[in-house]
Amino acid sequence: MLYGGIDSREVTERAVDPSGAMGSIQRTLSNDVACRHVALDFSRDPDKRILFPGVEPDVLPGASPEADLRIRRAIVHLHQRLLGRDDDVDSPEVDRTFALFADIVADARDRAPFDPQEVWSCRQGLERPIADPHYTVRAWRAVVTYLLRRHEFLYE
Amino acid sequence: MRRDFLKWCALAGLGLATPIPFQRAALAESQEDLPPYEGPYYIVFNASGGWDTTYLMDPKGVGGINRLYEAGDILTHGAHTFAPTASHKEGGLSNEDFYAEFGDELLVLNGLDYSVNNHSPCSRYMATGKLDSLAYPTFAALVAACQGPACPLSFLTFGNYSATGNLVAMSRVPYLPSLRRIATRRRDRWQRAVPYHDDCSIVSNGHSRSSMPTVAPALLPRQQRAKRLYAAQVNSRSLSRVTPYIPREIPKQRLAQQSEIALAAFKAGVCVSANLSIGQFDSHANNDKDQMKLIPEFLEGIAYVLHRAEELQIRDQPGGDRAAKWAARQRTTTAMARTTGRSVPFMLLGPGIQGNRVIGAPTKASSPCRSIPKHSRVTPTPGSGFVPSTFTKPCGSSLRSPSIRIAVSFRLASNPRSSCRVCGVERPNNRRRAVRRGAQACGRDAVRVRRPVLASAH
Repeated sequence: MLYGGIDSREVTERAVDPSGAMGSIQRTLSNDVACRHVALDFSRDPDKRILFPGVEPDVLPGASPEADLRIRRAIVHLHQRLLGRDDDVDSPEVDRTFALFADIVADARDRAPFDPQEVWSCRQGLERPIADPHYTVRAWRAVVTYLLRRHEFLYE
Repeated sequence: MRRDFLKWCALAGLGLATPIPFQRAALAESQEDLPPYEGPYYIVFNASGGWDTTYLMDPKGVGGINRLYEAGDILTHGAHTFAPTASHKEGGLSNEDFYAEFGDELLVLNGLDYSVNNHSPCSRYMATGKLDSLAYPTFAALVAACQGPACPLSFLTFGNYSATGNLVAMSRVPYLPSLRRIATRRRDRWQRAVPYHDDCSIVSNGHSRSSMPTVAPALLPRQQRAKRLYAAQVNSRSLSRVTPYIPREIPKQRLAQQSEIALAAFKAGVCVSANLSIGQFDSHANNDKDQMKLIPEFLEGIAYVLHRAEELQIRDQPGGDRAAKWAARQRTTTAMARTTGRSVPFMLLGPGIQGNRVIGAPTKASSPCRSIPKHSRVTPTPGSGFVPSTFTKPCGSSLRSPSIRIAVSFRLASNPRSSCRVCGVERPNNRRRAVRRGAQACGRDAVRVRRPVLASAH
């Protein structure tokens, strides 16, 4: 009902336009899902990862052209995995996502010191502890949250 | 993938989402929450089904129509006449108590002819004023679109016909705990707010947004849907203002539960209009027993809303301190009507509505007759009519012909046109003649309800 469904008694027609209640649910669930899965994915072996098979938390944006390329390829993988988009590494959409990731890492660096690990609720159930000294795990979580709120994902 | 996402919904529960308003459509959005909407507020009560109006505002007592009272038992309060129900009701609020408290504020329109005996089209006709189209918005949706389309819960509905005409998104929040879930930030065991992201993430979003290239306006339908989606996500942040007004104890009555959700949203400034609805009014074999249970429940629900609105200080007090500027802006308007049948009464209550009035009346046999007598034509003036000037102006020509129920009276008073829906006889320059021809063609003396043009009410 909150997300536009019906109860077949009083409400018999689905709501198709997104309301504030639906927007709140989308925000909440995208945060929850990203919180649950990003650090967990990094805690797996690289060949068993679903979201980040080709990048590690110690790969920083702007460190080197190779590092930026790895991050962009990771973003391309996320776009394909979550949004169903086949973007090039230098496409505007990838640029936008890259800018989000890079700006979060840069902001965190400017505001150092910060806690060198994920927030408590987002580091539960990991296969092994994951440190986050560069704030990249949390930045990737923000990226995944952003992608889960995209129209392409919600209206798959 | 979306199903997996929704599956996680159930597993993850609901809590705070610290927003990342980063998407294209949010480029023009401010990081600040929306300013609260400060009124007027509108509530439409729907008694779904063909309820017996002769046990409320349209008493008969003749010809064996009513078994519970005779014509001599009919009560009056000012200009109102109503059926006595105090000795027959099963719980709830009797007509006597309701009229004693609210009769001086109440405007009744009696005998509107909808010419429909089927539930579904009559609900649509009553809600929109348009019988043969599914595209028109209900009154509550229309005012929400005019007054505050950006509010997160601008148009709140609990059922019945709720078409929006694509003017505003409808919101359904069925239970108070549901409202608390979407409005409350995620909290830890000590009830402290636990954000998902640190401030730097949010600040970074602002940096990223400002560094983005300007995008073209959304032209494709998919782009427009995405724009509405992102706007809904961004605007939903202001739902957190609702939290202080959610009552700890949930009332048991159906209308009271709905009204607590609506009033909390009103008070928080995130809602413009609410469509409250309860059903089961369509009695057949047990008419008297069912009506004496449901109508008092319905009136009790209306009284509950008005009392709670007073407690929350979002209702103008009749005769109160209207000089106070803040109080003068706060309005709660209520309306209720029958949802099916040929002869349909209508009740209106709220600031700007002159109470203690009854306009029109059906015949003693409950057949429709002239709804708006000549001597009681409604002439809307700014600030005194049901449709205030502040409501009509923002709508403009793009929202004309919304067919508000009450606007029927404006149309009949201002434009002497009448025609028969069956035979189509129409004489725009001679109302009396048109009515007579319509009566000849249809076999009844009725003023047809025509779709009004809102602009004509100016």
